[in-house]
Amino acid sequence: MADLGSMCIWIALALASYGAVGSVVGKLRGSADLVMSSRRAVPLTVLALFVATLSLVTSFINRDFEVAYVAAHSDMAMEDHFTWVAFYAGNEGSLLYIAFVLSVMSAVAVWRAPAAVKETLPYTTGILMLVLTFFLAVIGFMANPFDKLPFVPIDGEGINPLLTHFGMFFHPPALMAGLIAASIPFSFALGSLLGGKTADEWIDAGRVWGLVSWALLAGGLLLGSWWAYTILGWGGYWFWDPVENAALMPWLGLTAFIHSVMVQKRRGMFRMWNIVLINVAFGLALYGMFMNRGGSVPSVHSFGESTLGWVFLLFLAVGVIIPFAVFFWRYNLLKSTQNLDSMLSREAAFLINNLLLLGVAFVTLWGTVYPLLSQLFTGQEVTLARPFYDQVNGPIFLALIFLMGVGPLLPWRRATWATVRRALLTPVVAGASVVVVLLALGIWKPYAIVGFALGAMVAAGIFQEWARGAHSVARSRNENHVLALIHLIWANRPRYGGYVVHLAVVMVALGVVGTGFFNVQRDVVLSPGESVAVRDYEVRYVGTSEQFKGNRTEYLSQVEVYQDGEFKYLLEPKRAFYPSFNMASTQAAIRSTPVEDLYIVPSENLEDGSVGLRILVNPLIWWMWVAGPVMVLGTLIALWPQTIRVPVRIASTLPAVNVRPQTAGPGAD
Amino acid sequence: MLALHSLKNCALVVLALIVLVLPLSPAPTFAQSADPPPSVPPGSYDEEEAQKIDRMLMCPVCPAESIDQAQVELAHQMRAKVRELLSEGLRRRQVLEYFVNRYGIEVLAAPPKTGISLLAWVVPIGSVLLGIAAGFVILRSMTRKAPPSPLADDQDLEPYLSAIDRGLSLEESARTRSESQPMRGPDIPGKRDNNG
Repeated sequence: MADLGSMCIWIALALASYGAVGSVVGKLRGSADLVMSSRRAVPLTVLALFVATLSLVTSFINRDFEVAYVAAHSDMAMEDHFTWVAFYAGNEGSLLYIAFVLSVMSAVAVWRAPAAVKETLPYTTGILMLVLTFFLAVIGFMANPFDKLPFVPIDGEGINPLLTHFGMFFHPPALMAGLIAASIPFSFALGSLLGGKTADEWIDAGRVWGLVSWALLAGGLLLGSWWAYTILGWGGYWFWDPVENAALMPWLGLTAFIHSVMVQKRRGMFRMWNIVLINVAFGLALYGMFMNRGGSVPSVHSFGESTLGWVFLLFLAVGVIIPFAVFFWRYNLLKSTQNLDSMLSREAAFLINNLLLLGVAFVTLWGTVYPLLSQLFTGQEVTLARPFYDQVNGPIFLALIFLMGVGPLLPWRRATWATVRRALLTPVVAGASVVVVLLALGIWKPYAIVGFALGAMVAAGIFQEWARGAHSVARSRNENHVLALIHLIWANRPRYGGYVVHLAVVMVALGVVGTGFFNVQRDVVLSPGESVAVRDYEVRYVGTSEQFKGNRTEYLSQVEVYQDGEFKYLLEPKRAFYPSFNMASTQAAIRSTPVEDLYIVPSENLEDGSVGLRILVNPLIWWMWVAGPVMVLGTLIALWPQTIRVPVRIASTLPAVNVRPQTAGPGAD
Repeated sequence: MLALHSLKNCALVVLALIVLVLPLSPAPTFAQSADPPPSVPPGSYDEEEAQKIDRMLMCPVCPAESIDQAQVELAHQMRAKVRELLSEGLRRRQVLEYFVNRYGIEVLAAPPKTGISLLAWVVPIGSVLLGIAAGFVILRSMTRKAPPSPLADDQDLEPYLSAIDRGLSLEESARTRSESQPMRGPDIPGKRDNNG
């Protein structure tokens, strides 16, 4: 099986390089046949990589330990369903996964490309296949998952115990897919630029694929935080680790992009800016992949020592320099045709939002590379960790939430005093009343108060929009308000999907502020029968049972929780020790409610039966995890293709205004 | 127009305040409690303060983890040491100094805002502020380039623009022009006049 897989890698490499060279040469020479045949190479790479993927999976299922990668990432004791995780547990497999995802996405992107980009599609195809060629060459020459050992070991080394968690089934693949997906909008942008199509041709495709990448990264980041929360055993969810940052930065770049691309779609402005943004996002995504593989910053995520670092660094340099060179070559063609009417308009708010998002990205990049810079120039390594990000990025995030509340409520072009007052009165009142209530409750934490107030402001603004819209639809169509709201959302999916995502962001902010400023932490060592009080919980330790399970010893502790002297429930935090890894993994017992989590995690099991426990009360963190599905839902609404037209009765009177002539879609957004 | 300007200025001031003032105010405070180390009796030090200090110190042997997070023996000992020093009456700064003398400046989760380390703080904050300032300048210049009466070519949009002014939900327009897209919300697009 491994030989078949290896062969497929080489076939895919040949196909991808043919696709890259053929489509560009074909386009330049004006040979439609060559362009067509190169385009057909794209789905063929999917086929080849599918077979390669299948062979690696088969090798895992058969525990074919002759294959070095299988031996390094599985053992006989591993349950079969962990093959999914083991597949991308190391460098080689994760690169194959990335290549496969890229080929599938490229094929779909090329196949479903809108008519507007047809002319420059050969360039786009060429760029996509060039990126794929890079990954396949790295796999083939430097990190082949099908490489064989000179002997067949009796058993493999086993899967990293930290990866055997539900969250690990989704967090790494979502992030890797999100990072590589950034190359699709990038390729549409650069392809159009190369072909001299410098107006708005690429932005529909760019927006859709930008959103796909954005949503995958957002989901991956939230799942990673959730995983850290339930399994890393310190009660937090995010610690500005260099590799977390590496995934956060492209997400920030894409967030800026999917906002400013709407300005171009609607107003024809920010053409250059959108090209710059997607280049930056792509560069940051490459940087993220570089950090994962032999990046020079210490992190809990690195795929171990690896020689791949410099190859990725080189590709990163090429991937940043060339697009900007093309950008300056086409600079004169990119001039916007539109002027800004007023500083008080949605366009202006979006531009400031863009700058703040890039600001967070820059601060994060700075924090990631500063240790290296200081090492280089002063010989002394300085760490920039959580306190740095909290103090510098925290305020920028607050400003972003403020804009998230104001921006969408401002009209395009220019706002008048009356529109602003009408749009912002309710949100501002909502925010102000939150401040008053919090102060009345005696809470004096400026950051937290500002955070909650801004969250309330955004939520109030969104609900006000929905209520007004639903009300007017209900009146004009004579239906009940629930049905009207659904119609309203359905008729303008990009906009209302965006609102749903904004609500999810408010939920995340609620969790961040709640745990960041109001949590309680207690580290205790308890003997059986002893108890400790944390806020209004009384936690009584009952005892621990020990169990041997193949490759690990599991310690299951039983903890009774009392409130007001009354027994409430039993929690069972778990700790497992893996002798072959000399490593312990923990699983926190969490009683989660929308108000607060009671979180108990064992830190050590002592000989005499006593246990070290870390007990936390984390207010409002529940909202952060619920935000994930809400965010996905919002993105799906925004992305849902607008093929089903709004009933003619409604759309008929405004076509000249809201349908863009050169984009075929019914522009009801 | 005056009101509009003052509102705009208000928004600017709020933004500037948020961005400028907050980083200079003290670091976010975290409400916390308890890690009784074997040697120090609880109550002889402030546990909340101890946990704040835990978060300011990196575990020297684990990648990118503070001693509050790390579960290795060294982190455990360092946490105990923090409490011991606090119960001896040392201040936060002195405790941090103690660890810097032992493990070097990299033990701090964020460098002090003095000397060469000030750069670590000034460069990112300065860049963000400069970026925003540049953004405003660009927006200003884009506004100035606008023709004197930018809405002159929008006569056909007049009903919609006035509908916006009357009310974001278009209730009026829904009533007067009964079939005219009541679902638009405030989102009446500007007409795209001359895009390529």
